[in-house]
Amino acid sequence: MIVADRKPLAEILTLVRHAGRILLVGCQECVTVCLAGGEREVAELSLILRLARAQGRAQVDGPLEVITATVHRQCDDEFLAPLADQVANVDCVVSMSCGVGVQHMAAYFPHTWVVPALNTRFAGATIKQGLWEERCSLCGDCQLYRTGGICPITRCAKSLLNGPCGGSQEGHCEISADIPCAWQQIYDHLRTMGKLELIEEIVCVKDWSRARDGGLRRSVREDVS
Amino acid sequence: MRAVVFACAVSGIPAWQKAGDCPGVECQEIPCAGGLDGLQVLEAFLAGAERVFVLACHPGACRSHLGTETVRQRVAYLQTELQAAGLDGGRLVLAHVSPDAGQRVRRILSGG
Ligand code: SF4
Ligand code: SF4
Repeated sequence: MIVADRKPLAEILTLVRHAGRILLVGCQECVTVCLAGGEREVAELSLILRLARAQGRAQVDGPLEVITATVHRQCDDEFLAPLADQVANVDCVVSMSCGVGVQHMAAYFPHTWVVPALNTRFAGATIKQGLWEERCSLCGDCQLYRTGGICPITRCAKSLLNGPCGGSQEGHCEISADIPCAWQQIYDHLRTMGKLELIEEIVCVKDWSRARDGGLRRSVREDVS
Repeated sequence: MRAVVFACAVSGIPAWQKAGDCPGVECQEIPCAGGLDGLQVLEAFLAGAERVFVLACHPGACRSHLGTETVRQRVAYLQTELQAAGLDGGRLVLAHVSPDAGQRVRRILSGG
């Protein structure tokens, strides 16, 4: 899933400082799972924004009316269409989805000012209650078949592809004792699986043109388009 | 309404009942302080409460084991948010009480 964090309240207050009425929109997909932009977080931010504006602080413009909605997905037109009437009646839309949803909303309602309430962080997984960790850097050329399902691009601080650097210390990465060395994890897992020969293979220079370096990426399925 | 109290059914509610009449204070029972609903706390402030009190068990006395720790973290989070919203975070008060601490609850509610 895409993992996001809510922006600090002060920043969101600045983004809506000229608005008297906003539509605050959550998303029921990834950001609901990572507790950043689901129905509950929408309700909480709505209350806290109204509380802040009710304080009448000098840098903000009086009370704020907040209309709330949470849609199934903000990155699909069909779920944005029903918001049209509400969007038409507000000064600004505050999106609590990932950056994809914010952009989709802004494109779908081109005459409405749309701002993000979240910082989109990474593609990751739930490790335990309240902890999410990055797992994939969306490189476009997945290498997990040679590393036992542990991504060295994402989980190694240097994105090394041919084994560990000299800083690997008793299972920890040299950048922090809190972070496991991905290559130690890969080695341990390959050994358990009886596939250590995979680590002997030299990986040549990776084709990064399928990653961000290649510019805007598209995925096409002509058979369904 | 001067204040709202969210009281754990095991410790806070019996203590509240022994505290006697507290005019202007509204008390809501919650099964465990660890289940404190942040939305209800924010709604209470938005409705004009001067202060919100959470009456929880003493650390180690929680029947749900994790309730006192969970409520500590939740209250700390809400205090930070209130502060960021321009309110004094100290208007949200977490207090640990035993079921017979009626007098203590009176003192806490009066700011003592
Ligand atoms: S190798 Fe690339 S696609 Fe595969 S998990 Fe790592 S970053 Fe993601
Ligand atoms: S210590 Fe391990 S995880 Fe850290 S940079 Fe070196 S190889 Fe990568």
